[in-house]
Amino acid sequence: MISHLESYKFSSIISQFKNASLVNKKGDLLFSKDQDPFKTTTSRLVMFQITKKYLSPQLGDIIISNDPENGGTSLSRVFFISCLNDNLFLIWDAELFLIDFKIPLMPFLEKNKINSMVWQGLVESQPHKEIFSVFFNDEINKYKTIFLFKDFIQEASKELFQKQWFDVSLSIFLLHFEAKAYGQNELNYNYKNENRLKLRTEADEKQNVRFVKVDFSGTTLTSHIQSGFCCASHIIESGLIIEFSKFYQLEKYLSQAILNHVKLILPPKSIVTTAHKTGDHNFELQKIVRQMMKYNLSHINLTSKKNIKNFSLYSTHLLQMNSVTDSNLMFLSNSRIEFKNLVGFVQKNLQHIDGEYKASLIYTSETPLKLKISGIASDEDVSKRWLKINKNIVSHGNYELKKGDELHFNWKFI
Amino acid sequence: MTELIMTKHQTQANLALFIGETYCEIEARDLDNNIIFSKDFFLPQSSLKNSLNLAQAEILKLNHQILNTYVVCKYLERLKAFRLGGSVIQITQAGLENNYMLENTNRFSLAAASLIISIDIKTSKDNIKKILETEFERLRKINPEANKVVIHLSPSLFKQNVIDFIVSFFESKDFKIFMNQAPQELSSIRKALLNAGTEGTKEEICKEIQEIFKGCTTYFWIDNEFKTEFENYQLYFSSDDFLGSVFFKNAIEKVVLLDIENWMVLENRLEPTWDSPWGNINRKHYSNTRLTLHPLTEILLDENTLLKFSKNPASSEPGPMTAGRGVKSLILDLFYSDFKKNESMIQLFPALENKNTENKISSQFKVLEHSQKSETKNLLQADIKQFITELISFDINRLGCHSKNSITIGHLSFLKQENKTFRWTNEIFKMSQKIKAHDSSEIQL
Repeated sequence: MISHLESYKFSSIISQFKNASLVNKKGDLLFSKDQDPFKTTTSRLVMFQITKKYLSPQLGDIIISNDPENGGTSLSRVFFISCLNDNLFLIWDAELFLIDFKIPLMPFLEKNKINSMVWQGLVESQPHKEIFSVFFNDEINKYKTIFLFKDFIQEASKELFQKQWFDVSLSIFLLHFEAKAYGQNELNYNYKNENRLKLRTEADEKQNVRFVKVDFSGTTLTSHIQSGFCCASHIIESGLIIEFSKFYQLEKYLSQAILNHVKLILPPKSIVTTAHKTGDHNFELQKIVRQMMKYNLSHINLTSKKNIKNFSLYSTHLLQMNSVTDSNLMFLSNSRIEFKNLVGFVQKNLQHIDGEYKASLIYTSETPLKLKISGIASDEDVSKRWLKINKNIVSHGNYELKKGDELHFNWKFI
Repeated sequence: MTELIMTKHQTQANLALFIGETYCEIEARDLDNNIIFSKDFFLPQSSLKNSLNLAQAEILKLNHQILNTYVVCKYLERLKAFRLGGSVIQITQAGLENNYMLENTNRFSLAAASLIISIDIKTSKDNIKKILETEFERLRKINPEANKVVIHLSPSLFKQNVIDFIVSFFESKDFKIFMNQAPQELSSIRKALLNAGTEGTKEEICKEIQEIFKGCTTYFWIDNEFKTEFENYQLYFSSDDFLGSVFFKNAIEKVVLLDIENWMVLENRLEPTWDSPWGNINRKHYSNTRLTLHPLTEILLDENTLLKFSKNPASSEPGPMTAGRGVKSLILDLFYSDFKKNESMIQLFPALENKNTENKISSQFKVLEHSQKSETKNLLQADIKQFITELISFDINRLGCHSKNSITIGHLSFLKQENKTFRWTNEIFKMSQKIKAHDSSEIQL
């Protein structure tokens, strides 16, 4: 009999990956982790099913893809699907911002050997092949580290081990689920006037089955909008699963046995079920539904009606800044601000006073910088949280910074 | 208390001192390298000052006087869980107040946000006096104890006479002054602030050594040698630097440290930046990976009575139950019976020989065993111990350690079937001898 502490072992063997999942041959989730601000839990499961259907990975194989219309999320995020043995598979994803072309499902590593044709097309033919080479070699090396755990791989692939692990995670789910309130809440939100998101969340028990039901019926259909504001269902599901597991404190035990108790209803051809060809709105939509889901779950568990607050969306941004030589990342959320680095910028103004952060950064490099801003610019807190390039307010979209341009931001924690 | 009086028959000796976060090793040897004193102390129960006093008393009884003290220090690690700089005033350029916090707002602060004097670039020497006097009065009301100042003013933007005036102003107020040489770099700001924020702790160590072993020269291991002059932030890697210098030669690529206060793997790979609790600081150091669990991690039950490990280790005070006064069940306590078989551990934790300690540990774990929910597997003390041993192996394995490329040291090295006796003080003496030999050969040349 195994215990819930096995999650530490799962966690240890995939600690070199930021976002990764272990599944069995049926695609049932055994363990998962997501460290990036953008969540890909369900995307990895979808990618595994597509890969299994078309390329059936064997031991020593790694299949890759980034196709946002086929299980992927954005061109820069590559999914790696690998076989550890015939009943244990590892799927992970990693970002290289220089990738701006589609990678259809293809065998990258075959019986532990790099597919030379794929390498030629994917790495050698690129103008910055050194950067591509480092990226893909790093991922191969991380994958090889897994095989230091041959005994555990062998053990974890056994049906008995998996059954016991599912039993353990299910029993923890039941404990945590019963410690919270049952009930339901419905939330309607009109984003930028034309996109209506309707989310009904229910936590209940019927015929001795506990479940969380998440229903987006009534959400705007893509045929009713012109903006192309939409994303694939797995993007939404990943966000919902993360909020659900955080709320019920199941992050360390998230497995198929728990996922089976989450019922998702996503109307076809709606803005939450239609893949965008480059995934432009993925982060934005995922963040919106996460905030809505969190609100609903908290609302169900309110102990007093006095504490009810109306839902308001808060701003959050992910800034990806890339030139040929440098890659900067900036994340501004409700809980933190984080820069990956500030290479190429000089501080004109950078201060933190009374919970309000103000920055004016001058771009000094001769090489233009591509800036991609993803996320939510909420009307509700526009006076407290904004981004500007020179004198213009900017939000979701693609921009370019040239030498002498100024990037300003104002961010107040609420 | 009677003051110990030295006699003229004293001979000279050197002292090796390892100051960990929770324990210290003290060893004195005469100039012929004979050990005249050697003892380990658990610091929450015997303060550093008391431990040094006890050592000095024993050394004096043998008519020896300490000439040099060689220190490998890990003591500042205890500050890692705290905001620093409560008594530090900052002088910054207007518009760049607290800018070091922006890179990652989840990190700890290094100075009090309310103790900032911001100066405009155009400020003249005539104006600066008035600004300083007014601001100083204001800050005195906020914290009358403030006694350190960090000046982050770029000489290329501010007139030298303005900077000089600020320095002399704070000198006249008996402030310790820390100059930031590159205020445009966030790492440099953090370095200067960390130097100021840790000054009290470093001074405490130096003062105690100097007061107890009067007249001795104190050297700290920094980078790859013993030094008397260094910046405080460098002390953070004193022990890692030292282990690297001792072991990273020949085929050893990794050191697995399993002692009573730290479980980690040190690799022979240099990293340029330290991802500190206060943000990134440019400090070259050996790659250091902490294992999943810490020896002082608490074992407890969650709200659903499932066994869990605390997210952060317990504080070193009062320490594990094994040390006598602890009340929480810590991972270290699981190895109680192993420690009991080891003479040096009994010296470190005298309470190991006390039957009451054994009973306390046993009853605490019994409570944990019986309070778990029956829907999942109930974990017994032996199960938890086995699990922890397996998890250590997992982590070490993942980091690529095997018998040919790595060495395991520390009080719990028996978990990896290695029981080589490693003593910091022994290695400190070896390194000090090498340096002396190196110095004398240079003189001969």
